[in-house]
Amino acid sequence: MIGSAPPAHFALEPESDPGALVPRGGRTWRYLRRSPTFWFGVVLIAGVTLAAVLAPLIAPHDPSVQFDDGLTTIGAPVNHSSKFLLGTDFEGRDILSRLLFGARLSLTITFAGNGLAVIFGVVLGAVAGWWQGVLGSIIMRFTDVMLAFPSLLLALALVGIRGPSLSVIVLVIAMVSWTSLCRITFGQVSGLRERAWIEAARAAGFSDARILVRHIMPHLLAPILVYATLGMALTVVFEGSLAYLGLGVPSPAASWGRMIRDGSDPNSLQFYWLIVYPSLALFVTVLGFNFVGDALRDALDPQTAPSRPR
Amino acid sequence: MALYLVRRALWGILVLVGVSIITFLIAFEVPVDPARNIGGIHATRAALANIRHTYGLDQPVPVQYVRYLDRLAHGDLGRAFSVSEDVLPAIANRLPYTGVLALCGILFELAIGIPLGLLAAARPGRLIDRSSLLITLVIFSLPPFVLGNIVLLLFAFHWSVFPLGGADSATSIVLPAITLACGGAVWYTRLLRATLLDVLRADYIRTARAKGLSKARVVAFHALPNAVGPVVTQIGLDMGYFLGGVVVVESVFAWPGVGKLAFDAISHDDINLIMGTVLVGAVFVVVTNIAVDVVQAWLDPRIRLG
Repeated sequence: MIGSAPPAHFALEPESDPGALVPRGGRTWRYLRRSPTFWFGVVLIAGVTLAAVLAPLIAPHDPSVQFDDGLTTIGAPVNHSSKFLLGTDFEGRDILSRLLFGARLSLTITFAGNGLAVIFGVVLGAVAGWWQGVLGSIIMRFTDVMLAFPSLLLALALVGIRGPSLSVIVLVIAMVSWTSLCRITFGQVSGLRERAWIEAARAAGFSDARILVRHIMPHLLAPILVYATLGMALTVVFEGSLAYLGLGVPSPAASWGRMIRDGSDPNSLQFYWLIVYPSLALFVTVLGFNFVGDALRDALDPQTAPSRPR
Repeated sequence: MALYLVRRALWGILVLVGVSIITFLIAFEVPVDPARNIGGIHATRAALANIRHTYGLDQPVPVQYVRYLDRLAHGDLGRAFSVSEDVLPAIANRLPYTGVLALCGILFELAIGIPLGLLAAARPGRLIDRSSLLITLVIFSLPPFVLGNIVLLLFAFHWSVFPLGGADSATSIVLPAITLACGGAVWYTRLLRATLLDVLRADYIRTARAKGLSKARVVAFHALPNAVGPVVTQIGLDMGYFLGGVVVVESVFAWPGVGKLAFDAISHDDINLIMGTVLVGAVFVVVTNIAVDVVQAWLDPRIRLG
């Protein structure tokens, strides 16, 4: 119960210093350290991140070069060989190299889009929860409206209108995914502002901004952390879905979702490697974030389990 | 109860007005001149001005919004040029397909999710509980377009058990429904496990056990009825979600529902049709939300009085 936990700077546990970002940090870490799912998730995320960062160094080929020997004599993709470890696609490009560079694109969009969504959600939710009144009502009714939209459809419409580019996709993902966190933050902040120590801080004459940042934020970090991690998994899927539906970052950029789309034509199913490897890459990434997020939630036990993504 | 109903209905109307404002603004953002669209590339400047005047495009934005609302209220969502139909009938024609898919999806969800949740809650912390949590997490990590294409590859292409897509035979629905259900089943498992564990700690459960009833009987007849509330809520929310957002699954399996319609609309840049599906999806979400609230209030008097 985050709401009823003592504030971080009044914590009784000796190891949690006043500036500790997460309340009961020691206990959380003791739980996480022994959680196999947490470590498994960390290894997966670290692997994908390393692949993304080191892509230019470790990729065997240029991801957008179309090799003459990358296609059979009838123009079909080549299965795995010593030159193309995971085979080639319909344009004779090396799948392994495209997967590695695809990790860059996927993680960039995910970090940026989800990061923006977290910032939007937390700021709007905190403002609405702290000041309530007319401003709070407007923000929360707007959240209701945004939650009513099927998010993928809305995102498709927005990206379709603006044209798919990296910045449009990041912004649209942020625009349709901030709502749940906004509701959670709103609930937490409006509960916390009634508590005695907050009243004490107000009586001491601290400014609203100071109370929000120094006294309220530490209590929000646990749910935000959990939500942001699970949100990463959702955003990877979201970006993949956009690309799969043809509204990802345009070619020649390598995108996992688009690679699956290219291989999923009924006539190209015999070239199974076109689908299997990018699917595996997406699965591993999503699994990593879900494992870490799930372990974090169990460790921090925030009362607000994230709602179902729509 | 009547007051509660009125309050929820007013909330729904307010949200729908907000939804319409946003769809109106999005349609406004389209970098295409609607007058040019109607008049064609050979229209003269005067003809364009004339068209603008006829369709009210020269009016102030708020006036245009009111006219837009008026059209919506009459069910006029414009023309979908990519299918040569009006938007609303085009969506209505595909709705039964999406409805059937959503229904089967929910049935599969419950068939997978409920037994797993029961098993997990019956032995908390034991191997079956841990493995069910792990399995649900793994399944949930398979995005629908990944899972859909993999089952398509295996069961339709490699082993030819099911058709490759479309809705031509009765077995066509199996793969899309399973794909749709897998991600959602996880939520039922976890939801049921959490609420059941809560309920199983109650005093009346101990009483039932103490008078000699078997554990299975207590779980099935004493605990389960008190734990299905959140599951009912989730079913309702799922209906709205499925009807609005099955784009991916329907595209993977070429299932001729609303989602596939939206997907085709996007590939043809048919903005009227896209916005139409967005709007209809939002209406479904709002309506199912209210329906869920009403059912909950009917089941639990504390909600409608609170």
